[in-house]
Amino acid sequence: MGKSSKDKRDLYYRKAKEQGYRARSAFKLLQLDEQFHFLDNVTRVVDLCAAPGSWSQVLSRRLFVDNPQNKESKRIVAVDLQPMFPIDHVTTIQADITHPKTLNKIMDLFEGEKADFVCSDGAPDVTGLHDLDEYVQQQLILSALQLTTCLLREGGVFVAKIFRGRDIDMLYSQLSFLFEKVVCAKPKSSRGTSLESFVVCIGYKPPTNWKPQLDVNMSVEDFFQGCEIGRLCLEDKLPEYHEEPRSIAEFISCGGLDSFDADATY
Amino acid sequence: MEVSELSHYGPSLCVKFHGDYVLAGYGMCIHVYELLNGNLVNTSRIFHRNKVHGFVVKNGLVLIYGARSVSIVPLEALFNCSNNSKLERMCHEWIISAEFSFDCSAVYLLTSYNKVLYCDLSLAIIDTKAVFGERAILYSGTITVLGHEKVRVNAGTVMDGVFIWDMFTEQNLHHFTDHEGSIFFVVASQSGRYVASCSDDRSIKLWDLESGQLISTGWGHTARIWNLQFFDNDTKLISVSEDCTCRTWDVSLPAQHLPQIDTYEVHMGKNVWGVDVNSHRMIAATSGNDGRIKLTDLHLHSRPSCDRQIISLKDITLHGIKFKSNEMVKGFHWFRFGLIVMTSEGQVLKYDKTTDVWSTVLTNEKFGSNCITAGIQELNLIVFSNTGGDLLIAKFSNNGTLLKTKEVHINAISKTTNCLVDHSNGLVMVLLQSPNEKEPLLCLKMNGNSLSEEQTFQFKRPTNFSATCILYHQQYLLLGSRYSSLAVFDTLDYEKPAQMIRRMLPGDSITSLKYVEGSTDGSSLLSVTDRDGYYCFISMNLSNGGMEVVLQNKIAKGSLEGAHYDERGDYIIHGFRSNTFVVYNETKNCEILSEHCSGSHRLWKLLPNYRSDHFILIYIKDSCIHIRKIGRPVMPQSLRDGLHGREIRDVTILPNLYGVDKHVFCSGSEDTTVRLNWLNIKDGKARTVWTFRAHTSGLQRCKFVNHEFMITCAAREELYLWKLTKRFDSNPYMSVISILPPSTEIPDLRIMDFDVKFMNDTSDFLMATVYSDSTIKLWVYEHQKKNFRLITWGKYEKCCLLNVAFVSLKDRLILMVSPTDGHLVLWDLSQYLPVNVQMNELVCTASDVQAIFALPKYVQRINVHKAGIKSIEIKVLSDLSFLVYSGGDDNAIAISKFAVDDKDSQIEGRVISLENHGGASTITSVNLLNNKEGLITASVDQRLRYYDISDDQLRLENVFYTTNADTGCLDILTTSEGSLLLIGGVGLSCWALKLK
Ligand SMILES: C[S@@+](CC[C@H](N)C(=O)[O-])C[C@H]1O[C@@H](n2cnc3c(N)ncnc32)[C@H](O)[C@@H]1O
Repeated sequence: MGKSSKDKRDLYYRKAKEQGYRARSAFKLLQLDEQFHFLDNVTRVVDLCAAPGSWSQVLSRRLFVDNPQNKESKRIVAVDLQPMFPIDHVTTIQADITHPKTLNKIMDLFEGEKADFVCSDGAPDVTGLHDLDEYVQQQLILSALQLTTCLLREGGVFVAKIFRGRDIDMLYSQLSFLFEKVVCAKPKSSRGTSLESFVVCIGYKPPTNWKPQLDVNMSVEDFFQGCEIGRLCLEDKLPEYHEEPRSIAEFISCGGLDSFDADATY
Repeated sequence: MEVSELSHYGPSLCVKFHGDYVLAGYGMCIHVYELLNGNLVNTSRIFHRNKVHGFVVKNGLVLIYGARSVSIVPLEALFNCSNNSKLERMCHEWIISAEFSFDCSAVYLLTSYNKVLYCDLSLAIIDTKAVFGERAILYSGTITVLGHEKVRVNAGTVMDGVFIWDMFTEQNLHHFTDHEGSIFFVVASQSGRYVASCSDDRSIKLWDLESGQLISTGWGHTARIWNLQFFDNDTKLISVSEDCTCRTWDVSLPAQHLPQIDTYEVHMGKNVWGVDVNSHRMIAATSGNDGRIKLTDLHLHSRPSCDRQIISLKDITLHGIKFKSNEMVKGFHWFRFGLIVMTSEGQVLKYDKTTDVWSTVLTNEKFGSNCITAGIQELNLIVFSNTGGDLLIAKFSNNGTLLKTKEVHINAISKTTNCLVDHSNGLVMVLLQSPNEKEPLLCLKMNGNSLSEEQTFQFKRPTNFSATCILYHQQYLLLGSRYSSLAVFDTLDYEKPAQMIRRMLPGDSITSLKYVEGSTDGSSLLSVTDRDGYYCFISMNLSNGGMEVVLQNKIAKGSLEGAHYDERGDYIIHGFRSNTFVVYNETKNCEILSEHCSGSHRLWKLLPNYRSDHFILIYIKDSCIHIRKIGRPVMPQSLRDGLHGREIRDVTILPNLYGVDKHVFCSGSEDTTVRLNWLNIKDGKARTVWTFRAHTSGLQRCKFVNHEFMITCAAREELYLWKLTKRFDSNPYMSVISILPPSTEIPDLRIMDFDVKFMNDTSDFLMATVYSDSTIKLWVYEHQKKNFRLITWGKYEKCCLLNVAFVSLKDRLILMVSPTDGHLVLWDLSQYLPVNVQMNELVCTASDVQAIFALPKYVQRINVHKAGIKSIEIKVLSDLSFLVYSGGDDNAIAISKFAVDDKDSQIEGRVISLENHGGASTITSVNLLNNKEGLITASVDQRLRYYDISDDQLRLENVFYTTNADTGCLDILTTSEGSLLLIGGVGLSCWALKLK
């Protein structure tokens, strides 16, 4: 079969090349947006775990190329542990999003203004210890959520990559305390045989009795203490085992009937 | 309904010695084993759902943690109480590590945010400790308790190296940043002076906390390292890794490069998680993803004791024996009394093992330089043969006295280059072979006690034949040869040409032939090995040459020189991995011994050592005779055997293999192997019989399609048809009998699923296969020819096809496919295929089905799921209608009903029951049970759900949690009391369901 086996197999890879995207992941965001239209009329967005940057490319095209008005009030901030090649109209930061300091940096760039949309496509390295991998993934999402609670405007949208493992229903339940609607969406460009999907949280409704407070000495878990999203609180005595709240989010497959299926090519 | 878990095999994350016991975290439980006999003393449930990740024992208490759970359990309760989960407490962050305080009055819990919860023994928080501002996520960490208020935290971060901080002053002491990537383990030496760490960069680094300097770096593991431990008074370090090995390192001397002492292959598949060392006995215990709890003797290569002797010729001269300057050992054999050696000068020497004395037996100059030595232990007999046709036979008594010698000269062949010896019923058979292929094979038969009644005869040498091993059984002489051939000669009728079996195995030289057992139908079971690492079992009718390969397999690595069943019925193989001699338990997949000798081309012999399962390995290295005794190990090789080391993709049960109580099942895994296992339905125990390495890619499906055929499929278009043989007592045997031809030379498609429909009462069948590129193929299998013939080919759309099934109605054959687009798609095959369906049976013969046609467009499809349908089950309701149960990637479970209109053959279908929230994650399996009145589903959320479907509606009755992550496959056995469930994922669980 020779040299081109990879291109031949991977239709989304080829499509990404044709359209100038740095990664095939771009189609995941595009297909999600096709379904939810969360990018209509957004002006200020944060792209977490963004490298190599194909989501930022999509955002840059949507915000600045397709809609060139009001450039000054628009803003895209992209963050990743890895360095990223520059993208037009995108401010990139190389940092760890689980670190409170990073969140402060992002906040500073917004100069007190709120964001319309926060997304995170992050995935930590997997060890093969399923429960640990799932936990670390959820911590990454919580870190993104932490920023979201500080920065997202009321009614805004939060999108994050998830792996549907054992405790995903606990995460759904927690997210539904903060958003009007929580959906689990799987774009066609994400392989059906992988557990990857995306949680799309629509209509941010900040808790009224809780003021998010970023503090460099606090962990994500500390941050959410007092915010009643059903996370376990640190009491003076470790509680006995009990079931924490769980709920199952609605599942939506996106990408239209005639889109390619990412598995089909393998 | 009563639900109970009978057994579980899966990742074990931690293991520890406690006196003469070994404690191991196993799923949500802790197992307690007796070290010396391997008995499982108790299994104690610790947590409700979380796995045990680690524990510490002190002052009769055990502090146990796993994920966000923690518990303090009296040690006694681990030994005698089966459920301690009521003691479980929860923490809001992941617990990375835990320790008791110095006086054992409190505990410290290190969480993933680099914070220590300081709690009393009732787990009330006294204080929390952390370094201000340092709250990055940890992947690893340990706590060193050096004194009352002297406690150090060794924290391994995801991004930022290693921090060592003082728990009471809450100050960083050291920050080590020399590693790259996440730190996966960090631990202090017992003295507290040194710290060892490992990271994503696969190295081990040793730090001196006094100077704050990096001392040395160790390289060697070929994948990530998960755990480290100092032992033997801080002079050594042990590491375990993703690469399945455990390695020991010398840390007694400062050196830039940490010297590695030894490597042990300890686990299967991927990932060793836990390790501990008993320094007093020098035994390591490891636990891994494969669910095995392994014990390793760390003195294996260096124990300088009685089980190893090295003798030089100089040592022998001390016994008054003289050697010429160039004299060398040319041959040897081991007997009850000791060793007999032939030298290049024709000296035959005897070593008496009880007196340790060497003596000369005889000298015969005709033998020596080009002499071949063979022997028969049972008869105390040794045979020397030179190239010139001379034979010298010597017979000894049990205590080594020379009783008789006999010299024979053979004229019938011009030169002898091979001499093979075997015996049967007191008769000795010596076979001599000439380098000239035209010359006959010469045989000498004699009485093994008197060396008399000698008889010589000649066998016609088959073409392309060069004998490499011998088996004399009953009246037959079986010779293994190069070119992977076997010749069977009848010694009572030596005029008769040999029955030949050619190309028995893929390799070249047959290295051993062993008789295993006979069956009632008169066939003999033989075990055969070849040098290239293949082995097989053949069932043979020796009188007429009829034969069948009942098992064929390839060993994991290296060459194969021989094999046998040991006392326990385990298949033991031996051979070389480059210059290392290896004895390996093929049944249990673990190494018994490895010895660095000089390779297979040198003189070596492995012989029984007169006690069951005791062997002796003798080889020449550096002109010395090395004698290595191999006995039964002092401790069990493993405390639990485990199964696959990676995800199990499918399981299939074949019930009642030998009567009503003996069942086998096969498991196919991501690790590319297929295992054939026993299943005990009383306790759910699974025991592997064979691990087949036929596939080269991860398994997709495996399924028994009738009482003897199994089919497996995988990526790269691999699909194999296997046949199981149960007529032998030693074991069930299984072999690939046919391979589906791939569509290209370098296939890269995955075969996702298949289904078969047998024709009449024959072994011929119709098979459908579906592929990852939307292709559907139909085949006819003809057992006579062992051949698959393609009859139909077509494509659905652009998506991957996940399942396929035949549905046979009264006179119709329907093909149903489930793709990733959530549809159920149907074809009415009876319209195109000349197959006849009568009362749900295919009535036709393979030769009737000739047509090759393009598969037309489907006749019907209905949209049932929002994403891929992962699993389907079918229930035929009537001559014209059927139900389909399906589970999808959209977390939903559905029942759809299809009906065929008898007049216009239209098929109509609709969803009649739908549960959108059938799981929090993908539904991976749906299975009917209880007379098709119940449906059990498995989901990646690790929950199994039981639905009552007696009125065709989904009514959830029961949910139960399984500790198997990536819960993926299910198979069900109907028992007298209900059902037995096998659940595969990252591990395997066996559950019993009893209907009330
Ligand atoms: C799948 S890639 C994102 C691809 C990106 N959306 C695109 O379209 O190009 C995941 C990224 O998550 C980043 N990541 C993982 N953990 C992170 C963390 N703690 N902070 C910042 N980035 C992180 C990784 O460096 C990686 O580049």
